[in-house]
Amino acid sequence: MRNFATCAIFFLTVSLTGCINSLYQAETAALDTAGNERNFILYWTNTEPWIGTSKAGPAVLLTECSSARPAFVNTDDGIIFFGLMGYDQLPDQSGLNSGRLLCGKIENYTHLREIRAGSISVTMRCKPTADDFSVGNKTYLAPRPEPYVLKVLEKERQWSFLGKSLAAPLAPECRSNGR
Amino acid sequence: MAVDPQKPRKILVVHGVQMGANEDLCQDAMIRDLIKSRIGDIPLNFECDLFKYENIEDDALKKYNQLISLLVKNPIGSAVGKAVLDIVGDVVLSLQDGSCANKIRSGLKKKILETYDAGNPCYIVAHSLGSIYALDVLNNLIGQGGLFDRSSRKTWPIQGLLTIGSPIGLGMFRKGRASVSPLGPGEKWFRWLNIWDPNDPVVSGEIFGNYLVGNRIAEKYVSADTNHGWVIRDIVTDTGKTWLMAHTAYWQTAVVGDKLVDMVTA
Repeated sequence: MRNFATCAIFFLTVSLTGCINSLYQAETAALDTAGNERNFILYWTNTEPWIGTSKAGPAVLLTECSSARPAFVNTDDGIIFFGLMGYDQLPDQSGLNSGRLLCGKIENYTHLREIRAGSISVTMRCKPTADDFSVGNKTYLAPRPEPYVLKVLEKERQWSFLGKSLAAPLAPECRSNGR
Repeated sequence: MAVDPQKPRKILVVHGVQMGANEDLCQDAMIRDLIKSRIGDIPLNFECDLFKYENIEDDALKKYNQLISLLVKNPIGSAVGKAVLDIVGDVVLSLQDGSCANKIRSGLKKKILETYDAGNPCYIVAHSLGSIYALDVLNNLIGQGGLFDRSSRKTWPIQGLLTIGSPIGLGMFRKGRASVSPLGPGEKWFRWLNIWDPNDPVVSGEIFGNYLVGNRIAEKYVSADTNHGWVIRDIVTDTGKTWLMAHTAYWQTAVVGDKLVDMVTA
């Protein structure tokens, strides 16, 4: 009886906590918002529990020589990087308003958990702002009319009983601080 | 008094529901390690500190602990009873909004104002129940006047709030916290980032950590009023863990570190 109870507790716990963890990464080289040629890494994780719904994201954009870390989040309208009023700026927006700043979007998917391999199409529209409190460069992928196309790689995939916070890539090494 | 942006950034961590005593807490070290693991070559001068209030709650629960010792003679039962009381008691004390909760809020406010007086830019990272106390104190500081001039961040004792695994979406905590204090007219914006895992039972109130559908918890506090002055974002995050494990995984989650680096450097 005791063995049965132990087994039952074990299987209940594992069924609630067991999962497969994956790390995805996409890289590119392009101009940043300050006009410097930079390397960029976009990463996100995906967790598939043994029971229940998969979850993924957000996708964080790492920029060479920059402390900015914009995040593309899953929303009802797709995978979107919403800028922060006062900290990001649309090129044609001089003032502030109460609406959200739609600063970027992964155009060819609706949820990060759908992306397993292939390419993603990323549009960027904003520039970060800086003030007395800014430390380091505040830059990210430059806005441009056509989307950036990034190849997605599955960097890691493993299962575990208790789940795992996978080690994410570091921002690309800073080669020069640029202009 | 004014904040000097050249001084080291102070990251004040507010812990959540805990077992044990103040001496057992080390969330400031966990946040320090997380930032260091994500900062790369950015020249950020920062310090982490922890506001501890577990002993205040333990003192308030002392008589109930003694009662358990009297009633439950079995050592295992007594230990389990005390552990449950330690966790559930913390939540009940917060909800009762009595002298214990007020003492915690006063202590946190004092700590924030000490940092402000020293001129260090201060950023709050608040986990779980700590996010409720942090939000209360922040609203109180904004509401009292003389601080948080929207034309100058140097008058802000707190530069940004990052909450992780916050139960603020649950009705019991939302009660009496239907809105946040507006900052008034001006051009600067106060940031509140709310990071949560959709399987975190403390966030969803789902005991088995069922996937929480939807993307908005903190963003329900967004206002169209131009004098509001808050920019609020929910960031639904995969911590890599599920159920109760998700609630304690934020301290090791790269996204939390990256968003903190982003906030503290801007």
